[in-house]
Amino acid sequence: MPAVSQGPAERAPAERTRRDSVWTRLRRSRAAMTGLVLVVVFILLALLAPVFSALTGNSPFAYNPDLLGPDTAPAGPLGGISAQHWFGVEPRTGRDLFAIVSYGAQVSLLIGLAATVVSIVVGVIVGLVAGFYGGFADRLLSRLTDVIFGFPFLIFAIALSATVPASVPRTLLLILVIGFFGWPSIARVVRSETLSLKERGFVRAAAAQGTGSVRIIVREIFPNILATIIVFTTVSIPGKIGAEAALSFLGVGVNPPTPSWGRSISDAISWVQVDPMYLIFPGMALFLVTLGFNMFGDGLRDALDPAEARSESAAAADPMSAGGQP
Amino acid sequence: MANTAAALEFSDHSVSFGSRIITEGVSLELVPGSILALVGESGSGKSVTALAALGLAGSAGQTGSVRLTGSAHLAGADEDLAGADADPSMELVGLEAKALRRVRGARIGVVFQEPMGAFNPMFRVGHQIAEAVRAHSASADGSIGSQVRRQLLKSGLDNPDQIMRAYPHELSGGQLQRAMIALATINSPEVLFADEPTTALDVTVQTGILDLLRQQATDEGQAVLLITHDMGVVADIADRVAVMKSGRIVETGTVRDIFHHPKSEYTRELLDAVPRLNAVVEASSAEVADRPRSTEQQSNGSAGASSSPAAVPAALAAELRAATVVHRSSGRQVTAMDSVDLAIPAGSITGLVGESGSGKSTIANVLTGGQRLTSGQAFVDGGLVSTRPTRAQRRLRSEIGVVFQDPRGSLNPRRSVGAQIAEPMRVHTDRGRRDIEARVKALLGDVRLPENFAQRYPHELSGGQRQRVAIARALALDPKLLIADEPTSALDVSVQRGVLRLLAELHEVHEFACLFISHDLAVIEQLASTVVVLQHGAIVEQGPSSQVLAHPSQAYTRELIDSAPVPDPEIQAARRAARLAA
Repeated sequence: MPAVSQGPAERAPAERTRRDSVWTRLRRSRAAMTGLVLVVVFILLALLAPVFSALTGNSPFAYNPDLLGPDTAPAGPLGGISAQHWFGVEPRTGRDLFAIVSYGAQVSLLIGLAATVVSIVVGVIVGLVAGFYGGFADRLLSRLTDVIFGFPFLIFAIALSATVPASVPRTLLLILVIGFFGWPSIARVVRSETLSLKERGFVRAAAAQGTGSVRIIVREIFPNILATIIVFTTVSIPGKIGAEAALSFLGVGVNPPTPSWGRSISDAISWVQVDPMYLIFPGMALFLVTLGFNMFGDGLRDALDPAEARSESAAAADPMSAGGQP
Repeated sequence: MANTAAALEFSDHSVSFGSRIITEGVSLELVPGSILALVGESGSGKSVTALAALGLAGSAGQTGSVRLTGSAHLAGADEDLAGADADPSMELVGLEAKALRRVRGARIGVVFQEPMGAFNPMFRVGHQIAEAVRAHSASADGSIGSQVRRQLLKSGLDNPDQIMRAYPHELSGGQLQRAMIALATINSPEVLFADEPTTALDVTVQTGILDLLRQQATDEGQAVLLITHDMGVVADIADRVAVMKSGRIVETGTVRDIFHHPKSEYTRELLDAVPRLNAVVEASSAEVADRPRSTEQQSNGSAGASSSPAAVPAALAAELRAATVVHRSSGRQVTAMDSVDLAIPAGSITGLVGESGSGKSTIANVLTGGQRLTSGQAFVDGGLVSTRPTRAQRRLRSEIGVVFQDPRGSLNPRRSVGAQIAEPMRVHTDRGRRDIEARVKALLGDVRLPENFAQRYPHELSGGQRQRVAIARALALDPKLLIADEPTSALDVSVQRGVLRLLAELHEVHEFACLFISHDLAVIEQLASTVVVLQHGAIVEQGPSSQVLAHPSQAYTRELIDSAPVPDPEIQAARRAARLAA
C-alpha cells in the first residue's frame, strides 16, 4: 500500500449519465408523455395550418354565407361539421372553424412562447444580478420586482391597447406586455437560488482564486439553476397563452380578422345555446394546450428533482405556484 | 459488572429498509450504571440501530430482539418510576406504536446530536421539559414545575428558573444540551441513548456534557448507549465499546481491551487513523507513569514536516496588520476580528485553531478578499488584498488556493472534475487546451486520483475524493498560499488521515505556504509548524506548534488542550480524576 492511498471509505458511487436518467424517468411518467404529445400536436397544428388550408381549400378569412341557415347559424348538425369543414363553420360568417383554430394556434403559441422568452430572460438576469451582487443592486431590483408583481396587469394592458397607435403591430405589443409582467416570479426564484449558491464552496473558491464576477455567474452559478429555469419556462407558457386569450377575450388582443382563440371564445358565448360547437372547439384547444404544457412541465420537474435532491439542496421555490401568473 | 443483568439487550438485531439491509446480527448489552460506546464511521448503522429499536427510524423493518429486562435498580426508582406496576420486561421489536410510545421517554431517554434542532424554537425550554413529564404521568402542574427545576439543577444548570423561561435561541449550545439531557432523564429512564451528543459542541463545552453523561450512569444507575465517531470521547467516558462496520459489530470489549489490545483489523485501523496530540499524550503519560516530565524531546511529526522556518528569513506569503472586522446588524456591533497581527512565512504551514465563532473563517475570508476589513490591512504575497479588486489585485489572487470544509459544496455539481481543475488556468493563463489537459492530468496524479477522473462529475465521487479534487484545483496555479478551512472535519477519520498525509506530501514537494484552519488540535499538531490560537476574534497565543501545544503560556490554550479528549483511556481517567478533584 502506497503512503497516500485512498482509504476503504473513499469509494465512488456508481457512474451514471445524468441526461439519460432524466429522459428515462420522463419516459416512465405517463402524464409527462401525454403532455408532451399534446404540446407536439399543437405545435404541428400551428406549423401546418397553411398546409391544411391548402389541402382543404379553406381559408380562415373566407366567408361562406351559403353554409349558414336563415338564422345565420351554421346549417347542418353540430355546427355544420362535414368532410369539407372538420370543425364546422363559424356562425354569421361561415368561415371554416378548423382553419380558425389552427391559425389561432399560431397566434397563441407565438405570443405564449415569445412572451415567456421575454419574461424568462428579464427574470433570470434580474434574479442573478440581485442575488449575486446583493447590497444596493439587490434592494433596488427586489423592490422593482415587488412593484411589477403587484401591478394590476389587466387594467394596464387594456389601457395600453387603447392608447398605443394602431401602427404598432399588435402581436409584438402583446408579447412585450405579457412578457414584461411575467418576470417577477422567475426573478425571485433565481435570486434565492443564487443567494444560496453564492455561499457554496465552489463559488467562494472561484472568487478566491480571482475569477471575475461575470465568469462566476455564467460558469458556476447559471448551470446550477438551469434545471429550475427549464421547468419554470415550461410551466409558465400556459399562463402566457391564457393571458393572450384573456386579452383577446376582452377585445384588446390581436386585431380581427386575425384568428384568435380568445376572441372566438368571446364571440361564441352569445351563440352557445344555438351552436355549442363554436365554443367547444376553440375552448378545447386552449384547454388542451394549457393542460399539455402543465403536465409536461410537472413531469419534467419530477424527472429533474430526485437527482437535485440527492446532490444539492432542493429548488428554493415551487415553480408551479407561479404557473398561473401571466 | 459481568454479573449485573443488562437493562436493555439487543440480540441478533437487524434493520432493513425494504430490500436494503442496513444492519445485521447486532448484539449489545446495556448494563445499568455503565456506558457502552457504539463506534464506527458514518453510514455504518450506529444511529439506525438505536432509533429503529425505538420505532424512530421511519419505515425500517426489524428482525431479532431488543429486550427491556426491567432488572435495573434505579436510585430513587420507587418514587419516580410511575409506570413501574406494568410488566417491567418487554420486547421492543414488533411492539405496537402506542406501547412503544410509553417506552420512549419513560424507560428509554434519547439525546440527539444537534441541541438547537432538538428543541422547538417556538416554546420555552421549561415548557418542553414539562411536556415530557406530562406525556407519561398525570402529576399536578405545580409539582411538575419543581420537578423540572430539580432536574435542571441536577444537569448542572445553576439558574434553572432562568433556563425554564428561556426560548432555545437564548441559550448556548452547551446549556441546551444539558437541558436536553434533563429532558431525556426527567422520567428516570433505565436506559439513555446519546446519539453523538457532543459532536456539534466546542471541546471546552464537550467536557462538561461528557461529565454529566458519566454522572448519569455512575450516580443515577442508568444504562447509557453512547453513539459516537470520536475515539477520544470513547476513551473518556465509556466502560465498554462495540465497534461497528457496515452494519455489523466487528468487536466488543472493555474500553481498555479495545484501545490496548484491539482484536479486529478494523478496530486497529480505526484507532491508527485517529489523530493524536503527541505533546499531550507524552506529557500526560509521563504524569500517569509518575515519571519526571520529559520536555523538549517531542514533536517529531510536526518539526519534520516543516522546513525549519526559523533558519531562513523567509518572505511572507500572507500578512495581517491590525486587521479588524466589525459586523453591524440592527444597531448591535459584533467584533469578528480584533486587531489581528498575523504573518504567514512563505513555505510554512500555519495552523489556526479556535472554537466556533472565534474568527477563524473570518481570517480566511479576509485573505481571499471575501470580507472587507473595518480597519487594518491584509497582504498576500506582498500585495494588498481588496474586496473590490483591480485587475492587478485579481491577478494576485492566482497566488491563493482555497479548500473549504463541506466536500459536497466544494465542487460545482454541473461541471466535470477536469473542467473545474482547469478553470483557474483558463482564467489566469493563456495556455493552450492541450497544455491545460496535460496539467489537469498531472494535478490529478498529484492528489493520487486516476487520470480518467477528469471526465467524472462530483456526484460520482466520495467525500474524500472530492476534497482531493478541491486540493488539485487549489494547486492548479502553483499558489504561494493555500488556505484550507477545516478541509477534513466533515470526513471520517480514515479518509481524513489520507487527505492530511496528502497535504503534508504536497507541501513538501510544492513548498507553498499554508494556512490550515481547524478546531482539532491533534490535526494541527500533525501538520503545522506554527500554531495560532484564536478566541473571540483575537489572537491568544502563537508560536511553534511543539512549544505552544506542549507548554502553552495562556490559560485558554491550556483549557483547549485539556478539553480535547485523547484516545487513551488511562490518560482520560487521570484527567477526569484531576478535573473532578479540582
